[in-house]
Amino acid sequence: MVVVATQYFILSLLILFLNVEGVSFIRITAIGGIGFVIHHFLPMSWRMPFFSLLSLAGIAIGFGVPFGQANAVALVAVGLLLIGVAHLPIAFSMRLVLLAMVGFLLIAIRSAWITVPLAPAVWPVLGSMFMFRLLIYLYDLKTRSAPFSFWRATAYFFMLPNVCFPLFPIVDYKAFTKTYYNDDAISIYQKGITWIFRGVLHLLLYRFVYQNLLVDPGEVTDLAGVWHFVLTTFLLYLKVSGTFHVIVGMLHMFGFNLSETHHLYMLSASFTDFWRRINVYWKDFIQKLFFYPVYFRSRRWGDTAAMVIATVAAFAATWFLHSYQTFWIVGRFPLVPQDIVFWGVLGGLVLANVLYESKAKQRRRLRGDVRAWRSEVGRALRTVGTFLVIVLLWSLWTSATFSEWGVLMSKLANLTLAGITLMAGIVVVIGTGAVLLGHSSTERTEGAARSRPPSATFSFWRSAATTALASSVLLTLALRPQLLSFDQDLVAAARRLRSSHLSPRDAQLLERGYYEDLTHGIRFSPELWGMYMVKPPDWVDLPYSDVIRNTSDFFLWELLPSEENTFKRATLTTNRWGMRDRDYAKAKPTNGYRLVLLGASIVMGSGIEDDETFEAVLEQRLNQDAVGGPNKKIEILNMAVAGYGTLRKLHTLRMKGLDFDPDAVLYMAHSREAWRAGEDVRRARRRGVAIPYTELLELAQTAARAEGGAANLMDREILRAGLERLSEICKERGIKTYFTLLEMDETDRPKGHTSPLVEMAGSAGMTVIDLSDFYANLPDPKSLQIAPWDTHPNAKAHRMIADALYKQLRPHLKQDIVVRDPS
Amino acid sequence: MDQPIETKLKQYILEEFLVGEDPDELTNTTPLMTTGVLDSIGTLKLVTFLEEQFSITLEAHEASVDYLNTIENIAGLVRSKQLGTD
Repeated sequence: MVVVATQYFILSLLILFLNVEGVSFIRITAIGGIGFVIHHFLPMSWRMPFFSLLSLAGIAIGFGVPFGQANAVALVAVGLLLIGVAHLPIAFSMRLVLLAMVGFLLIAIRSAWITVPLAPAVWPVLGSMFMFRLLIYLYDLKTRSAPFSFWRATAYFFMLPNVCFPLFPIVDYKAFTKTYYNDDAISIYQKGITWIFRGVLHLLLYRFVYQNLLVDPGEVTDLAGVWHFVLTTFLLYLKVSGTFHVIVGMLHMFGFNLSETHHLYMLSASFTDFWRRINVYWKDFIQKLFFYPVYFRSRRWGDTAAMVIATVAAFAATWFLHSYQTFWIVGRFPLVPQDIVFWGVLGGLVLANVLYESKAKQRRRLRGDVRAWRSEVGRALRTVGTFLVIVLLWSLWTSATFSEWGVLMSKLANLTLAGITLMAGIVVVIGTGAVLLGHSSTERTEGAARSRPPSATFSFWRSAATTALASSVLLTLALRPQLLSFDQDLVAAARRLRSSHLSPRDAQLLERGYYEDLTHGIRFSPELWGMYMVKPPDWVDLPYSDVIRNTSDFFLWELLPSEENTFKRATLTTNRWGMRDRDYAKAKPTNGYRLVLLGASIVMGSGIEDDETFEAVLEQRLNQDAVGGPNKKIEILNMAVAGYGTLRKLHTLRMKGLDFDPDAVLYMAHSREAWRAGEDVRRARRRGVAIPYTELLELAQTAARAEGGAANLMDREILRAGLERLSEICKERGIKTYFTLLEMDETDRPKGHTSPLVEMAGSAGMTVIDLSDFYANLPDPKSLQIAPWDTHPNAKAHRMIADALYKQLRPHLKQDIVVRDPS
Repeated sequence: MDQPIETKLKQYILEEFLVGEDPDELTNTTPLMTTGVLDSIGTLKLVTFLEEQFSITLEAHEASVDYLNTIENIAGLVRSKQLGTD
């Protein structure tokens, strides 16, 4: 027991220092550790009630602390109501009707059709506890195939680590009750420790891939790029397998000797094998509630027809229930063709396998496989083939559009030595793995522990020594990454592993989400789920707000003039010219110096009050300090509009800004400026609006083609052409141009070199004010967001931006004002 | 005289799933589902065999490790069905 508790302690430190799965999970790990020790020393009859109460305490701490205890109480109350209805002393069919009615009410609340005064996060967490487990519970209740009691039910639905995980393995109720202390307690605990450790490893590997290896499909130009993309996309599944290992490992600490959730799924030798290995609990759930019942009901049409109908039903249910799961997390039901194609194709492949297996004699062994080189080569080839098909299919599933995937696949034809080497590497690694480790394809389902004599094949001391040693090494590296100083990249990667920040791709997705419905886009992004889960329904993004109007020209949308509205819970007032600013006369004052400010949502000041924007603060300070001299009045005209990229900023200057006779233009850029430049074009095309800068697009296309033609190169060249045109226009009119790069999120921190955007602006003849390190050294950048679900800078951050800009802009303005008006 | 249920089951399992295996290795308590001898497809084949051979009807929830994991379990299920006690 001491050895197990010590390992748990080391793992808790690892979870703490590497910030695995956030603050709530760190708290739950601590509660779990204390609870585990107490639980072990309690009499057996007290243990289930204790675990149940501990789980409720976990909800109070893991959910009640961040969201309020009233919300935690509501969560538990609704859960108890559902359990209570399931046990009402009325006909089972009536209970189902009542539960369906309650379910529809909850769906209406989650969809925001009905408003209740509770935190939005209540519903995803409630969904994760009940959406599938209640179905299993009812099935087992109907068939009376497991014991039932109040403590078992509350332990099952509120089980301890669930409150931190919107994506939770579908634990089978029968397995939950029947595997409870069905083996030696210490062996069960040690197995749990091993799985928690394995889960943490998966999660760290996932974080490494997520932070360092992801590529944008737009960057892919050849065979190597395609395989890099599809492999790293598939590896993101480590988040799920890691989470499930940690969860089930923690349940072992309380005696639930559940079977493994994943089993070497990358080494599947057929599509059926893949289906059986990748999410064992899901497969069991679908088999129990859909495949077998449909098969038994369809046998009147013959076994083969029944098999076909049951398999189709199983995959249709899988598709629907995955979308249903997304619904509970983000509040909208995604109807995505890629989902249907993925599950349809995988279902077809599995069906072909199933039909083959149902006709062929199955050769199983009682004492392990007999190995012959011919069968080993066959296994290796089948495994490699299955792996390649699966990762390609997976990339289709996770792609934003079919055309994006089509463009990606077209790059397979661009053979390169790196690409061929990478493919050969995949064949060797997967083939060797298949021969060495891939033989065990047992369907490890409920009650697996009973298949062996207790602890006969489990070596406690070997497991304890391996886990303790490996977790201590990881903990040491987490605390002292400089031990890896023989390679500075490793040190940097180890440091990054401590924090969980958005990858560039997710940061881009999040930004897109401010302007369009991205429910389907984020269905594979657990990092964004956390933000969407807590986003309240009244947090309206720009397209659905009252502050803009759509236009039929290239602006696409603009701020409504002379309006006072609420946007993201702050007052947003516009002047008669449609600027988020105080009023200005069109004619420049005789003693005035005018600066037109071009930007997007940050500059516009999303989610902060009118007088809190950095523009308002900066303008006031420049005049208060009389930077232009005692009689010079400096005016900053904030022409920023959320969502505008380079070409629309250029359009704003040409069509609106020049009318105000500016002396200078301040162009505010962001690290995703190139993508935004491309978005202007893509959005205009989607709306069928003519783009008045076709010559710039042609220039960009020519430049991008010269470098391989990847989609993001085109975006970059649009940005370059746009900046050059803007600079030219200003130069012709004697207007000074400033370019400020403000990198706002952690992912944008400089890596010790000048941003290419800065170089681009400098080459275009603009004066660069580089604020790219603005967030680089801040201890807690998240405290500068307007909300946990919205990364726009808050009022404090705006004051800091104003301060940083003031310091750098002041000498330039002083000099320019003197040059223009020496008197 | 009819063969006992266990003998018929053993013979079927050896012929259908354990071709070439030593019959002595398969006992009445050898785990079948939890060791992979019977996967989901094999389980359904076994169900069809039981229904045809012993003139009984199985429910979907009985295609589980509780009832079909060993020859002993299966024979118990068949007997209870034949006696109408299940």
